[in-house]
Amino acid sequence: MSRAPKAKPTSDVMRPRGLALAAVGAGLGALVAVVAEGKPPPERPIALPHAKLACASCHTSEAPVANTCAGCHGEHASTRAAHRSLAAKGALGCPTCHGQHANAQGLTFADGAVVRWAAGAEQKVGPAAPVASGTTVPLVSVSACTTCHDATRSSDPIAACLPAKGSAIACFDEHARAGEAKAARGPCQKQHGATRFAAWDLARTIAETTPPVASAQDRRRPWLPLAGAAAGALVLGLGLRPRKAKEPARAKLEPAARRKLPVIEPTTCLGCYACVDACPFDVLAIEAYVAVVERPAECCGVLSCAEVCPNGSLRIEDGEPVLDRPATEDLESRDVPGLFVAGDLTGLPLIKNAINQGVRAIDRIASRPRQKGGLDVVIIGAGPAGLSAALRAKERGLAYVVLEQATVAASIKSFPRDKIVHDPPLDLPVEGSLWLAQSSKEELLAQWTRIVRTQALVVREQHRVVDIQRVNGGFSVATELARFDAAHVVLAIGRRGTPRTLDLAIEPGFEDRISYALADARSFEGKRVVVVGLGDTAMEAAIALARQPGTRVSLVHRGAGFARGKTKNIKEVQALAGKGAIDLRLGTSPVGIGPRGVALGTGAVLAADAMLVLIGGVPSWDLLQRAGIRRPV
Amino acid sequence: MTAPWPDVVWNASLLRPLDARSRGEIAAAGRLRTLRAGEVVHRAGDPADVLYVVVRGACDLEGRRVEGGEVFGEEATIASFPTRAGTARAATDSVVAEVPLVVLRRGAARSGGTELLSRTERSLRRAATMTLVRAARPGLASTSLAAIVDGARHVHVGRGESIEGRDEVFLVAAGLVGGVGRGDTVDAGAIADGPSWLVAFPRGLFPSAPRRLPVVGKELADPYRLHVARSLLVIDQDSCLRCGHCAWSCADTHDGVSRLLRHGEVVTGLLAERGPQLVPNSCQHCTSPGCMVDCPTGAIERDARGEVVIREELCTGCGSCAKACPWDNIQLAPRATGSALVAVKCDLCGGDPACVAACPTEAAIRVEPRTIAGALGGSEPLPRRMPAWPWLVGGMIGATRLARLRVGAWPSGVACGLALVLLAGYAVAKRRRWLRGPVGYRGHLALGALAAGLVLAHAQRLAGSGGALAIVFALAVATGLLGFVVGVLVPRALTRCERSALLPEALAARPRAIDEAIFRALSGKAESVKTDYAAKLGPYRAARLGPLALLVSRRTLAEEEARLAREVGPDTRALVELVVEHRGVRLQRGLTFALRAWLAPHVVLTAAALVLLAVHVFMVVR
Repeated sequence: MSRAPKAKPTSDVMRPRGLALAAVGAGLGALVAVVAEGKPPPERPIALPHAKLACASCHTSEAPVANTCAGCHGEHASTRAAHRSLAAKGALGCPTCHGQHANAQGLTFADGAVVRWAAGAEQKVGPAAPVASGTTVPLVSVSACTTCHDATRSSDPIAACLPAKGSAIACFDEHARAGEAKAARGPCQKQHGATRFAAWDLARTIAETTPPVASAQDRRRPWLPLAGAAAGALVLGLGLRPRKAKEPARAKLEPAARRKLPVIEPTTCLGCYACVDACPFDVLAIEAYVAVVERPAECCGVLSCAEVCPNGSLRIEDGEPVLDRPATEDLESRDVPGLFVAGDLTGLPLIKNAINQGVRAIDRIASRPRQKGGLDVVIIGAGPAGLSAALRAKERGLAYVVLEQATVAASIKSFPRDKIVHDPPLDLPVEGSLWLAQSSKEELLAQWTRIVRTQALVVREQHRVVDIQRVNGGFSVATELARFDAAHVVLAIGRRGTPRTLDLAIEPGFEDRISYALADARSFEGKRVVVVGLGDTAMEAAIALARQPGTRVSLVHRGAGFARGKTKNIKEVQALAGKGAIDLRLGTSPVGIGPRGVALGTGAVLAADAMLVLIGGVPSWDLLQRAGIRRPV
Repeated sequence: MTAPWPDVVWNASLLRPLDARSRGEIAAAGRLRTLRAGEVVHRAGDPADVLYVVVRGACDLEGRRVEGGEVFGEEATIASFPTRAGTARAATDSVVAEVPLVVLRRGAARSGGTELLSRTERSLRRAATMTLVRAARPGLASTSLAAIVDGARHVHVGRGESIEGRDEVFLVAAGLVGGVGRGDTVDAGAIADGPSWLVAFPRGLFPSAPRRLPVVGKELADPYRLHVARSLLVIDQDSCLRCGHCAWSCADTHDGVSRLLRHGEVVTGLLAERGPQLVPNSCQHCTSPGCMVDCPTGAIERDARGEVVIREELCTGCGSCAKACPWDNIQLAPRATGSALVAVKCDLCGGDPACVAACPTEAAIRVEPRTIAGALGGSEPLPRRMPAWPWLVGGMIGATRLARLRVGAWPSGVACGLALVLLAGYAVAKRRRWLRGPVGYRGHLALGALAAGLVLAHAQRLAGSGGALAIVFALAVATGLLGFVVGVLVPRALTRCERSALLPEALAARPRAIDEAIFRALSGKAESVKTDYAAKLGPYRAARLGPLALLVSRRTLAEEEARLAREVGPDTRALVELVVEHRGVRLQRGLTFALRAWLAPHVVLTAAALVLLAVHVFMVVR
């Protein structure tokens, strides 16, 4: 049964908050931009003689700009009939030629010097000239003329005004007679004295010999508040958004120090199945309308059962400490710095965990300063952990070697034939994702060998490690054949090291009837087999054997019932036992093996051609202790 | 105190064995109804929890007449959530006694113990079966009717279970089996669409003249869901802007937790003359609510209007109801106080659902699929809708007039400022009931266009029109207009390319999930399939511009599948669906983004415009 869905905020609900934040940010950003700019320069730069005028002096709301010039300067009719006629229609005004902003150019003859000016800028261009002080001559750039005229056509009247190429200013006859006639009036009185035409000629010469003055920059920045708003919106809208954790919480790399166990208060339990559904490993079940801990050994300590219990009837308590594994700190041995462990050896099962641990160990090694000479790392064991470590080491550019006592992925090879490897997709370094959902052992093995081949991993098979010694800050790893020096060691030797054995009275000649792994159930066809143990390995072996034609299987376990294992296996064993295909003997264990068969503690004797002892393994403490790892007691 | 009931009631065979106390209880809990000729006793579809005994006069039950002392309405006993199969009317001026079934059963148990109770139960069930068979096969002789009913066997099946039986024919008493509803027969092997109650008859005894009811919505993926829904939220995908206002207003109404998840199956042909409809995750107030059955504390009940409600004070948050709902319409949310969980689901907001009210395009409506005109054969007309574009166009026409208006700087400025404040205020006002949904949306569109005209009129009087405020406002108007255009064009394109409606956050992971499915479908297949895939479908899946091609082609996913399937071998057909969906989902993601992308700039620009407006007003006034 699936779990009850929990209400999660969707983007539909959360988006308005993000937008509101962005809006606030935009408002603040715009405000900051406006305030930071201070009082903006109120106008565009104006030609210097008009610099002190307010905008409204020319830009009135009643009349177009062209009509306001005459208010001060009087009528300046053109000498050219065509221009006069255009002016009468309103198509040509003073500002058409005498731009007062970007295009403005002109000269002012002051007391001490001649000043050339543009909009908001001026430059001294020569000594005092024999012209009345204060005489101002505006210059009209050709660009003003070429808005109507085409200077490249010889038929165009402007061609006559432009005698030489590059000569910027040529015509000074637009207002000649008219200017004289209106001479003695208004603020410009002194402009039109006797020296007016001398000033024109002088201005023409100066204009031709001095470079134009660049206009002052338009300092108004209407885009600034917009940019401020965008920045503010980004900062608040994106910056304050509840961010997803950068990487998913790092995969669990080490098992808990103590076992955790749920404890249920039967008087308050509702029997609502919430905890049963929450448990990923079927630890809990409902019996007589109350939740019970059915299979404590499987508890993974994830604690989601306690979270979902509606009325607190389920508590988590600490159980016995988990022993028999090397003491580690983020996979590095506490006893031997520089020596890392990965895979089943750490006490954390599952292929996926082993792969994560291999990657993590190498990442930690790669983050340390390299040592000169020798290898960076010796990886011992070519199982899932060892191979993922090797892939990662290759990816990180470390010098490494993998030492394997048998062949690649021997642990997986020893799975029963066609065992289904339950695992979510594995994220391997370099290779990326390896999709193995419900793939069989053979498929997994084939993938594994393919990876070793295609990635050209340095794997030394048939190199059994016999000794690990610390040598000046590094390690010296001795195999039966060679010796490797390396700065670090990754131990990924798993727990199969030595299969756990039974204390048996074995009659001479019957030793070879006992084996500790099932390679291929078909070789037992028609035989009588006793399987000892009731873990997943034992159950899967028994199921595989029971399916062979003519094979008689007895399953012996010292416990009274199914304490651990996958539900699927348990159900299948129970079904096969119910049909009589498996002879299930609980609460007893073998005490001897001889010509009559396997003798059990109860006194019964099972006729047997072979006995499979599948009761787990113990880590190779011998090698670990040689390396300096203390065995916890 | 009511008058004692006449003896004619107690002489009915079902009631005769009851002791005096039970009779008193029945009389107290039930009632005597006086009916005029032609008055309706009950209608088809009414909840059925009482039996009727005719005291005086007679009643017509669609083809059968019951008279004084006779009992009717026993169908109340064979269904978990019984409803009346047909309509009963008073044939003459009559009096009927209503006997509540619960009280009758309790009384039987006390008066005669288990024996009487089971006898009562048997005769009730027999009568109910007889009513059922009589309705299904009118015109059967009463002797053969009795034989048929005596040979009946009652069968309960859960959702997805198949009917088992040999040489039997099954009459559906409640629920839906293979699209067939109450009163019709199915054969063994049919799959139950939902929890159903069937009556099995030996094939020989039952006349083999099958009278088939129209099968309920066979083309719909989950007909049971629609069959039992009393108030189903559907969203018209062709006009839905995917703005999420429905879910958001739901969360707004219910302590910040939306009881509506705007994703799910898209059903075609559900409503007459409307396009594909999304059936999102929102309680549909079933006629036979599984959640109510599974609640261990009785916290789920029906209120007076028949809506299914959760009483939060009784809910322990165990999640049984959420698991019982086949459509995940119940979620567990943290309680307002403390961290404990409580089950939440749609409560129809007390009769005026916020989701429907908040929809700006009137795409979301709540309907009863069995009565509304559409696939299930109802006739009730759909609510009328009004498009939003006339408002925008009207606003634009008004704006061109306004832009040419010659008014002074002050009046036009004040009008502009007011319009801008009102436009920005829409974001706040649409959270209020009176401006929710289409009214606010249309008003915002029209006012936006008018405001653009006002601003033109205001700015043309002033020379320096290139200021920051003018730029920001122009951009805000432009993004708003873009949003409207996108909202008109994109939903139809989106409807064509979506297999199921997904939330934007779920879309990102979907192509990868499809890739996984492709991998699974490919692994272990024949080499020919793999070559076929590598030659045709692989490149199709990988094409970067594929989604764009799909958009331009204007093909639906089904058409695209048909086109692609012609190019590959028959074994590879299964993969076609996956690669087409892969392309469709990528397009869906792009279009969903397009539908939402304009809004953030629009809001940001409006906020900036408001601030600049304040600055502008400050400067001018000073």
